[in-house]
Amino acid sequence: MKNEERIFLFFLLFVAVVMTLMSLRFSSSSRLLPMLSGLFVAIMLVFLLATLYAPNIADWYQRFEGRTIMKTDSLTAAERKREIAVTGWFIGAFLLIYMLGFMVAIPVFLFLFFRLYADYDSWFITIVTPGIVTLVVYIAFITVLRVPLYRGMLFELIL
Amino acid sequence: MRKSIIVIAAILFILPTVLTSFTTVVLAEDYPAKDIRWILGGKPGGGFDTYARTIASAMENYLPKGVNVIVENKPGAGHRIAMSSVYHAEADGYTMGMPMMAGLFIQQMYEKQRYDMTKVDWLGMILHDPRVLAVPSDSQYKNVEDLQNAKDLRVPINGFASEADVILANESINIEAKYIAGHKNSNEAVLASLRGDADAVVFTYGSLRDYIRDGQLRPLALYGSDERISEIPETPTLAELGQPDLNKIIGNFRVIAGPPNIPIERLSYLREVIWKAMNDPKCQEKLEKANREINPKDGETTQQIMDELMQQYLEVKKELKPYYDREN
Amino acid sequence: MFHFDTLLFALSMMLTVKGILVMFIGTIIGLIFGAIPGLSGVTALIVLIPMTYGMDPVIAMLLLGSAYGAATYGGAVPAILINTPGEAPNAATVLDGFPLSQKGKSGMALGAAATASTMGGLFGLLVAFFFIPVLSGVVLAFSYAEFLMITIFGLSMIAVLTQGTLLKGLIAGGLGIMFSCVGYDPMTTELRYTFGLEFLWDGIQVVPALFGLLALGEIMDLLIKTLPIAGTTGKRAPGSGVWDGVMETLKRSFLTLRCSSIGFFIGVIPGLGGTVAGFFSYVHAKQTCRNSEGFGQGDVRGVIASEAANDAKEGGALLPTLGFGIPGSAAMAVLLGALTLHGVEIGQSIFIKHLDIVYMLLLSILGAHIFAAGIGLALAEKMALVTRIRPAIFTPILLMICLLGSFTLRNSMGDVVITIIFGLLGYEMRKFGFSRIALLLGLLLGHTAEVSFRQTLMTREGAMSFFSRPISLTILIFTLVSLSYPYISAYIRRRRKVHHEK
Repeated sequence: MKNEERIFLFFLLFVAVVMTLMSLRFSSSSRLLPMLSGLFVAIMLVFLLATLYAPNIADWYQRFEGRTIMKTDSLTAAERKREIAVTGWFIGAFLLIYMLGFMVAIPVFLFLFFRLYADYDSWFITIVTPGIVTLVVYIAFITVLRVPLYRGMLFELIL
Repeated sequence: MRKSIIVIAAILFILPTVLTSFTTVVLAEDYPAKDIRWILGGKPGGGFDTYARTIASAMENYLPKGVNVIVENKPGAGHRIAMSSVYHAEADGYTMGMPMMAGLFIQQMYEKQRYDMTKVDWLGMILHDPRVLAVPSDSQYKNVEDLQNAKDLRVPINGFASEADVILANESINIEAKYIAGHKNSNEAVLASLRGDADAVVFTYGSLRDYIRDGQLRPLALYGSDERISEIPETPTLAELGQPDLNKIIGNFRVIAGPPNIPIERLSYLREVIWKAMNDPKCQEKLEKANREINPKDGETTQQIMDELMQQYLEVKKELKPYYDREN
Repeated sequence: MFHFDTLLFALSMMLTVKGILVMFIGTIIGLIFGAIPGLSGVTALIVLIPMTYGMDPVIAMLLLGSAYGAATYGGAVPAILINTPGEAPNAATVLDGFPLSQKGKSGMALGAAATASTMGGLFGLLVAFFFIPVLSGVVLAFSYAEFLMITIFGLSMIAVLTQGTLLKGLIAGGLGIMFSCVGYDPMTTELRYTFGLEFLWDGIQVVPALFGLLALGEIMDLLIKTLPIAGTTGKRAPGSGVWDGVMETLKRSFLTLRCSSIGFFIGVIPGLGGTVAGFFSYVHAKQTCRNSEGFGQGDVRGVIASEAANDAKEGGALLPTLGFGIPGSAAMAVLLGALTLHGVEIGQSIFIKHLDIVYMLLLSILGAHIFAAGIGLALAEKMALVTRIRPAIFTPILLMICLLGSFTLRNSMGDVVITIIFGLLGYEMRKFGFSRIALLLGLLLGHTAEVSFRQTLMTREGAMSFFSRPISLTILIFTLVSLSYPYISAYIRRRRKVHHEK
């Protein structure tokens, strides 16, 4: 848990430093806010990292603020496994939409998710529910709102 | 078990695919056979949107039954996102756009863009909306001369890229001012002038009409119109103020365009439908009610006007450059 | 200015069978559009306006006004039940509404939200009703300098809103400000952090970020913990307690009144927006209420504050809209278009020429609030059941709807990518105790802060106007006092304790 948090903080620090450095290329007035906020975030992150590595800094800061610094839930092994799986499903959802467009991706994603991730057997949940959702989206967005939904990379290439 | 999952997923995948492609594949021979997309850079509810939706619904009366005109809002980056998706769409007569002509072309002159306004096919023009230089009605400035003599003027604008022509026009008649950018729309800028943070505003007549009629703003000069407007007969044009050349390139050109190289018979068909729609009495009545003016020009005329316009922009390219690049 | 007979006429038009039917339909449409993430009151109006072309203007106003009035309550429902604000202004409702759901008290939160938004809406409209001519000067009092001070005050609220350590709250807020710099610099023509991607030119949009941080982050957490929102324990049905929520709100009428006035004044200033109104009044409630430790962990007063303010702000937004023809909010801009479509001229003259239409509009918004509250209260128990369902059933559907909603905002796949990225970021932030709301505030206010700062420098007075303009200076002092107040009061308490012990 501690390690994960450190990785996350270093990642944020990397983002902040890169954005601050990039802001040096902007013109003088455009630079002001990105540079200030970037520097601020970077300094705060360095300080937060310092409290993780040096307990006496953490003690000092806790006395100063009067609130506890660390308040992170710890995950069980099963939860950690699901964490990776769910992240995968999120990215999968995006790729499905990107390749196939909303009207195809929605039923396919829902079906696959119910069947493979949630392990439902009942036809009602795995087939009828995605069908209803797709129908509602079709009626609401295409028939009533007349919003042209994204059609997907695959169809753009084929058609 | 696994097999059935794959089978069902495949069915779910194929079914909508067939359904969506059905219309395009079967009926592709004669034009128009499917819905026409009208991609806009304006937000829902705004000026571009009102024009497009009204004209789109009128177009449907002149198109074969079942062919709709679907308005698609793609706001962002000063109409550039919308324009580049129109530009790169297939030139099959099923995609059209409503570019913000002046801003897009000015940007194209100085920086490479993902579109080229000189190549697009023009389909029609709804209106050439001139700009009005106006001051709050309680302002100490009564006419253009007062503004020319004034020192330390402030004029609120949306951004330098979209309003470089305004600054050029102002300076051509010796009005020196500092420009406060960053206003989200003309309303915000008008508000800034009403509360005294700025002295004058320069926006299209369409967007300032209500304020002028309501007596909140006083018009002082008309940029981009050959004749005076009958509703504000005392306001002189730029030509009368001694700058006839600039008159042609200033203002908001509400034009309709498609991607380059639309097949000629489809192009003329589409132009005719748009022309009929813009002249449809019901459509004009609706626009009139929404307080939007319309002064339609057909496709060929628009093509000419636009070619001329871009030619004139290129002539002032050097003069315009400093205003385009200006930083605060 | 106030014409009783015109009001009676408008009322008599409204209270016909046709009028009530139209209003009912409008309310239902508004509720549905408000409750679906990605659709909003604005979209409801845009869909309805073409349908009103042929209608009598009075009936048209009735339909539009009621759809618009109901949408804000609609947005509170998913905010409370599934941590997903249906519209951006409901973002502050999430702060206490969702924790209440987690405790199995969705019914109470829904009841409180319905009552508070009705009361807030009523208050806002009544004040607007009687004081439009008197108050319209307020619109002109807020210049660039005041805007900057208000945004700074808003950013200072991060200190109050953050739970857990302040350090992490500040980092989150700073990240938000950094992200608000992405895109086109509005003052020059420079592009910042766009990496050649066109969809980033207008910056990171608030709505996709909101869906990502709050909704997707929560979906991930639910799927990982696999427990229903309200847990599996607890004997009471989550939907019970609707009337507790109603009573709770009525009991705290003074709080509702205060929060409504805050919302109203934020609404008067064009450009600040309803999301800010909700947060401002939430912070006000947290700072002024006794026993405020429970805020953020499911205190019904948080829901009341946010909902009262974001409905009252629409009344405030009527001032610039009707008084100056300057739309006070996005929905008002569309409503303004609808008014002109029906031949109503906007501006001061509206009160002379079209008073009946104005009253009709106000009455229909009022009526919609009451209808919406009624429908909301009647359905609250059923809706609350979602908090007891296994997350694996509704979360994938919610995920799809959120992605769809982000897409339809600008018809851009880029916004879908933003939603996913912010979803993963939101989950990590939640896990490690960073305040997602702080990031959101930074993102929301950073842009306005930057633009108004640089605009102030462009004015004749320049930087001096921060201090020479009385309102600007007042807000600045107020910000400093409210920031230091907890420390000062703690110091005094400590001193007193020492004194007593002696």
